[in-house]
Amino acid sequence: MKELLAVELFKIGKQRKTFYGLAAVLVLVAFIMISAFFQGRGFLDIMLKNIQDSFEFQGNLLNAHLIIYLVLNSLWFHIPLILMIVVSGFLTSEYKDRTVEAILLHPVPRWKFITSKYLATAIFSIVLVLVLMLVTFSAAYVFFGSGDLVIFLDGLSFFEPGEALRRLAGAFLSGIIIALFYAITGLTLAVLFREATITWIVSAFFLIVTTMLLKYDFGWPLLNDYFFPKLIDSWQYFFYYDIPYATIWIKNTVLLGYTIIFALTGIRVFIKRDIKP
Amino acid sequence: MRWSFIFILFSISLTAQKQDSLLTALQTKLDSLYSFEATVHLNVDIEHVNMPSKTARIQFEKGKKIKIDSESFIMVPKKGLDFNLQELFRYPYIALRTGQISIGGQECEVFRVIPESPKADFAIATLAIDPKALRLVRSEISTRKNGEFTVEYFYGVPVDALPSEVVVTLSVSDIRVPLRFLAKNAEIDQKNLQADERQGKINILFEDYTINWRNR
Repeated sequence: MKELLAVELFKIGKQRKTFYGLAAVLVLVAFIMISAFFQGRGFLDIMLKNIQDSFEFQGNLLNAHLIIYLVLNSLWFHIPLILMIVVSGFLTSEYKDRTVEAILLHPVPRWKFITSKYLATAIFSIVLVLVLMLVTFSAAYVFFGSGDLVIFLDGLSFFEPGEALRRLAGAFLSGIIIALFYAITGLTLAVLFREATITWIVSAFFLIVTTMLLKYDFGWPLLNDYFFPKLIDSWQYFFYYDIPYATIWIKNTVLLGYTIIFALTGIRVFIKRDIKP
Repeated sequence: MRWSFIFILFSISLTAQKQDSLLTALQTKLDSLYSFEATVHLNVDIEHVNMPSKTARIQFEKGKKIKIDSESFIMVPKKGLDFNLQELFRYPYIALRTGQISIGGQECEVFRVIPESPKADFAIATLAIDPKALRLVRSEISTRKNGEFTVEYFYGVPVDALPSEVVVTLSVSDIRVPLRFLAKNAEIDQKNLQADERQGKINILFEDYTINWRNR
């Protein structure tokens, strides 16, 4: 199993699409930073408009922490989209090149092959979020400097630099669970649909629907609390003035549960189904 | 009717002249405040605004804008830190004594101050002055541009000339902003920023005063 996992990681490292995915994430970060540089002041003016008449402000709010927060907002859609496209390609390209058949002609148990794929996908997702975190924090501190973080979420909240850093780091780490969920789902869709273009379309559709349903009121507390589209915003809870740790913990645990269920579904389908299309 | 009106105006004028001495005394005292420095702790109490207590160093010098230095971001009320009332007394004014009021067990004289010049920043001010200690205890000021605000001054010991605590109460619009920074609907949301007025309080604690009086 270890050897299979090492082979999968080696393949991920050798594939061009992996680096295209990483490059896309870095370009996205750069784009958000450039946008923030030019539009950030206007954004802050809108946010502070109603208290600007009564107060004078001292200090720089267009700083690294606001930029990192804006990059974090890409966890809603952009990062999952890139992740699902890249990850599904790990399997669809092997179906296309018929390397799956070639590998399984060897005495390799199917469950070990596909499980190693899922594990490699999980490792790739974690590394991607950590790289995103490292690049974002480094670039933001170099170009924008430290300062208080201002957030509009259940009111206007100001966090001092140390507190802002703790919350942003917590949100990124919570974002790993979300990235894992989407990546594993992407691979499961690749198992189900096998063909790259169809898998991408279904992945994008899944992402759009999930994002739309996040704010949808199902009128049933169980669905509103535990249906997976309702669990992809756990990182955002780090920016409530009093952090609801219990809510974050529950959301992440349940989402991790869904991730495992989706992975087991993919593994089961892969084992049961004929390899030839 | 006309004679009654003239008589009332004459009475007010007399009262104003008579009470002006207390106000003039306070003005003279505050005028002798040349500069001061202090460490301030700011606590903002406004609905929908969450901000931790902030510490800053405040520097006041007569005739100049107040300087505030802080390592982190701070929000300072635009009005309420005018300790020597230089803004209030900048232009000629009419002062009317309107009675007495007890504030914190202290009997205070109440004045209405109305500027004679349209250039004045405020439309009307109500001042409560402690005549014994010759200190300002409360001011309610209606400005022309920045709405109304009330400032309450609390002093540490009876001889203190400058307050150890100031509470500024002002009206703040309720806060609504677009949720998504990159969203194109930011401009649309901006139009919908019409909001309710709410009362906000800023509590400012002063310590480590260095006061420089002139001609006192």
